[in-house]
Amino acid sequence: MPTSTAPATDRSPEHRPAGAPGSAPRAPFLARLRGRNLPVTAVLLAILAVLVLVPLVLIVWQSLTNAPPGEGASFTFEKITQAYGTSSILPLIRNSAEFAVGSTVVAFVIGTGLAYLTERTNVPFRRLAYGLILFPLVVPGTVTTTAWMLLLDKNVGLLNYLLTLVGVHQPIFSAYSMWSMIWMQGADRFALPFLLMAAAFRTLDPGLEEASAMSGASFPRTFRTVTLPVLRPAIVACLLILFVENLETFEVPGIIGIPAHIPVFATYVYLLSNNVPFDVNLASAVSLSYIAIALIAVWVYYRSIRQAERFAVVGGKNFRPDRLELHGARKWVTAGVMHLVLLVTVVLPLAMLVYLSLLSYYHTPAHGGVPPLSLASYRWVLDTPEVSSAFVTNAEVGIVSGLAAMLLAAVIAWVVVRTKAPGRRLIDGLAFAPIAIPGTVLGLALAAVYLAVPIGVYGTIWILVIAYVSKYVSYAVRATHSSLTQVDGSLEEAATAAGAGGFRVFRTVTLPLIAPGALVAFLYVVTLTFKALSLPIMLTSANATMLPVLTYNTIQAGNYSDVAALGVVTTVGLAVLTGISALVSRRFGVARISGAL
Amino acid sequence: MISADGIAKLYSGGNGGVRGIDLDVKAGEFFTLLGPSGCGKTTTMRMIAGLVRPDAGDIALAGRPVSSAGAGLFVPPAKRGIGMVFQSYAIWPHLSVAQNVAYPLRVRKMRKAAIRAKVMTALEMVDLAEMADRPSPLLSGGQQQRVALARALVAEPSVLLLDEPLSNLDAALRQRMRGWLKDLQRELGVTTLYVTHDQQEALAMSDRIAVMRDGRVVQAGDPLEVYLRPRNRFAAEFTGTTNLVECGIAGGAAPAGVAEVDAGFGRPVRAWAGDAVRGDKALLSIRPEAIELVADGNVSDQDVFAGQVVHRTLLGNVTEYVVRIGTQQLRVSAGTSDAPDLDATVTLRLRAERCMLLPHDDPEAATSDPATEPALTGDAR
Repeated sequence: MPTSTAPATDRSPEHRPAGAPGSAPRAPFLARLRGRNLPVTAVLLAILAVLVLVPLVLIVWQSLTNAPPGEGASFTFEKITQAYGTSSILPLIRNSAEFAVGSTVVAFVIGTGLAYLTERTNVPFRRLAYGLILFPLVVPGTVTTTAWMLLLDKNVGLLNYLLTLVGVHQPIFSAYSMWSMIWMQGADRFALPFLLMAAAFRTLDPGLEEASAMSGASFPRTFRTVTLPVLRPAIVACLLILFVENLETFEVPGIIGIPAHIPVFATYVYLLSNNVPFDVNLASAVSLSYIAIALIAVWVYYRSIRQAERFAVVGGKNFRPDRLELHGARKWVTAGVMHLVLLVTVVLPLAMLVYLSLLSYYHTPAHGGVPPLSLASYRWVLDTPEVSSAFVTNAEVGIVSGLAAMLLAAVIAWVVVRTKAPGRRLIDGLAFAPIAIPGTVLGLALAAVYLAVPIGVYGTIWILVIAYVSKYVSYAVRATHSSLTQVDGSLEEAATAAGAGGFRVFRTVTLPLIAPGALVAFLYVVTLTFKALSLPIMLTSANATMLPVLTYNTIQAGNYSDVAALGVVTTVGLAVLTGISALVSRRFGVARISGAL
Repeated sequence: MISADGIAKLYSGGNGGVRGIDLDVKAGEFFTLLGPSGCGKTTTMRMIAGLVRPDAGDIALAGRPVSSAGAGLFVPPAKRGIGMVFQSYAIWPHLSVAQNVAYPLRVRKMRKAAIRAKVMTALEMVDLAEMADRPSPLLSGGQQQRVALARALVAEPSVLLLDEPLSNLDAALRQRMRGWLKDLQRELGVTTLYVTHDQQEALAMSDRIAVMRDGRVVQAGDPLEVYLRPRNRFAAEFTGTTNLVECGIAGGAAPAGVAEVDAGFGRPVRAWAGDAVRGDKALLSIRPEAIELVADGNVSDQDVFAGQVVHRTLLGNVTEYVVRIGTQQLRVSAGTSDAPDLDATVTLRLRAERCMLLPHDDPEAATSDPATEPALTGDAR
């Protein structure tokens, strides 16, 4: 008679049934997911491929053919020759480079100077400075540019008018030049380098500079031989990310550059698309070099982030974040200069904006009199159906894009941080890549894709959603990524050890802990949809007009007061959103998004 | 060599401030500021270095005034000729080991060949000559600390400042470095100011120590002197473990010198009272190792008391045990081979010169007025 091979009362661990008291806990859902991660990775890769690779491949494809896909296109180098064969590409490259580099330098110098003063010195009124520095983040670029345009205009600009009041009758300022474009962009964008460099200064061991002082070096020498070299990785990363952003921005080149006949890549693609018939192949061919420049910059940026880890604080801990003590007159003069800079770069255009919104139409004050104020523009904002429709559309698109980006980002961050799935580096890289794809090009590509593939997305809000998700998922991933890495794996393990099953652990431990970061990411994406022009300008249609495009159209129509009122209303709304986001961050300790970039 | 007169620094947060300190460190001396975090010891050092500007007081180095709040004089740190080792080591990651050490010499515009020679000498002094051209981030914590020391010494400064240089090392390394650092200092004879919260380091390395708390010096002097004869509760507790027993002084007011006190042992104890003790109440401080185990002691001897062992803790080479004498319990430590068993009756000798009377109510110095605090120039007796 056969007997079982196992002893009747075997209590050794290997033979205990799983789940019985005293045995090892059942492998939790998360651990099993780590093992069985192929489907998740595959799905993610598929989504990212569709979002990121398809448009890129299409651009390349279209630049090598002579008709849009599906209309009898044949392979040819003709469009490439047409784009690069003539010398007309040169001014385009030169303008784009000048504008991007120039505004990067301006924004970097202002941002870093302010970061140094607020982080490393005891200059007073720092809180006020923070508020002013970060405020431009909630003001749409279209609106700021309009304000600057009317401040600087040679003939009707407010600044030149004010100069005549003090006896200077030669117009000094002008709006339609490369210099003014560089200034407008640089003065609008220094919040990002400020945040990045402030973070770098905060992690810089002041002992490094103090040791230099103790070794006998003067302040300039210390700055040159210690401060700058140690900060080099952060500086390089900052410059590159600024460069890429300034290369693809549309507001200043569109509002100023086009009337000034200073085309850059971003506006050139747009202008081509306004031609009838739209030579989409030529536009794609031109876009090739555009993407190439951006991709190179992002590649170097990615690598430099890796190198920055080498310079992370080595050696001892517990250094005190000491501040350079300014004394007496020096302290107040420094504070004065700092706030003067902020006055000129931030307060001036904002004041102009508010003033503008209260005029019924723009005109310089008649001699000796302040023009009558009126709320007509605000009434326009509230009463015009196009405006409310644009707000609604923007909100819809923003919320849906934000949710989709946040969800996608959460899963991507999860796979990259918590699992050992093969292909997660590829996923991370693919999610990061769209930073390099200029908004107008992405718009162009998506328009072409969904024209060719008739799934009823073209001309609706869904193509916009796809565009925003593709473009901004990288920002959302960074925010969720840092939030997730702050949640130590042991927190989840403790929950498992306490008996919770996999999904419960995710729901009760992981989710609440990354929720603040996810919320911040969501609000950030929503804010971006209200500000960015380069994406929607190529994808707009009658039933899907976003607010920035409406603003741009209003500028084209010359209704500057209406533009200002629109801007004020949008700014107030975005300020509220950002305020919520900041409150959440502070309460739950979320790393700032751009610091996490 | 280093003299500070009434230096003070006030911070709005309240922490880390210094409320009036005098220092007089002699040439070649190893002087330690000992105290808990926030007591102001690092701030004091940074004022001497010139990294912090004092709100009050004067500082002079090698006889030359470098800072005077009243006269508005302030020599910047780069011009003070001081070598300093930071708690974080502050090794420049973008420079090699040799380049780090060479930096002070390059600032002084020395010739390349001369620099190289001095750098190698400095590195040999800290046993890192073979790492000269290594990129500095690749070094371990202990190695970086030695590079920092070489860098501080290479320009042959008149004063060396060390800000908790051993606190980031593991225990074994810390012990080795302690002895090595002290030997090096003695060999070079450089005047050294050392900051630490570790009482063992302070006692082991220093020629003189100053115990600090809340921005003031609580007691200063020879390390053994401070250890054996603390003048107040904080100094007693911070320099080592001690038993503290509230006692009443027989006969009212305490005279300086030997007094008889009632500490609840059943019989009066003879103890040494310093002039800081006022009134008829005091704290009796006896270190665990100062209580002698006497085999079959004679309890009619005034210093011998009988007690019972209520607790025993083996710590390796010593055993700590708790003895009940009268209404009190005292911690005693003895060599493990001598330690009595639990519940045993023992006789202990409490010698007067090891029993210190401390002020009962004021945990800090006897007087709270810094102006009358004598300068720490010598015996604090």
